[in-house]
Amino acid sequence: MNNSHADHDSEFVERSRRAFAASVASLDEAIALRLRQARQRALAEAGRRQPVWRAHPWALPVGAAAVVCAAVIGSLVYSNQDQQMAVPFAAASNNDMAIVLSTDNLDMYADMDFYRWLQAQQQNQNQPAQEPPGNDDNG
Amino acid sequence: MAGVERRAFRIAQLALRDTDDALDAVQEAMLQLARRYAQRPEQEWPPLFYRILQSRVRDCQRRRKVRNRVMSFFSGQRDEDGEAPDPIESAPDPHQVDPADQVVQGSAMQALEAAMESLPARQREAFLLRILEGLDVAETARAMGCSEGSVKTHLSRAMHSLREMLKEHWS
Repeated sequence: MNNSHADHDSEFVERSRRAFAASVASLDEAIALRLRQARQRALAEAGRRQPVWRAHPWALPVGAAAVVCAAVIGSLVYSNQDQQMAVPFAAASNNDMAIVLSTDNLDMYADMDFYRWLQAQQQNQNQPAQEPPGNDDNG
Repeated sequence: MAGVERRAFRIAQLALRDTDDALDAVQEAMLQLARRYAQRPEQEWPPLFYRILQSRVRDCQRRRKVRNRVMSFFSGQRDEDGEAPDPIESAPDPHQVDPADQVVQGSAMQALEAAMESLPARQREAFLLRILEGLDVAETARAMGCSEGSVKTHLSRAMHSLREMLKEHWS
């Protein structure tokens, strides 16, 4: 019974395939032409969209080398900048930062002109006492 | 692709019942295959191509359905369920002939086409791809986007229905 069913099935399948193949073979030539043109357009499209590394096999190693070079140069430049910035900052942290953080020192810097004037006055007052000893002989 | 294009066109034509729509679907499927999968191994192309083609066919069928709904909405027709009748389905088919008459006229394919029209879409797809195009079960499943078990179920039901419809005329 099963064999008979399978035979009927395979016979039905064969008959369907023969009918389909005949209908494909008798396809209108105008339609076949349009199908060929569509296939050629698709092939042209596939050629246009070919990846760069397939069209130019040298592109992949050259590109990789360029990326590595750019990465090395970039890291060197970056580390050099870091070093240049680190030195003045370290010096500033030892000397200037103490001044910046102390409000007394800031006041002193603001009154620096006054201190210079005061020193000059003191030097002017001291000068007559230090006159050369030859002047006493005249008196 | 050269060996497939004619069969693919006939399969699209059988599904869509329209020459221009079938040509558009095949052209779009070819272009999409070339754009997306040209680098894949050649043996993978047929199921991929038929998967894209089936997708285009379904898109076209959906567009038709929407267009039919819009058209029937403006024409104001409704059936007893309140659903708008499909004007394409309800229109008389000038080519529709009883399968028995077709066989008598010696056109087995037209009889098969007429019988296939009454199949649900997924059963028709399974029959077209597995039997007429000759893809194996795995390839058919990939093309249809379903499991191999579903393919076997759809195909079994399609074969049963078609044999019932054609048994008196193809025996």
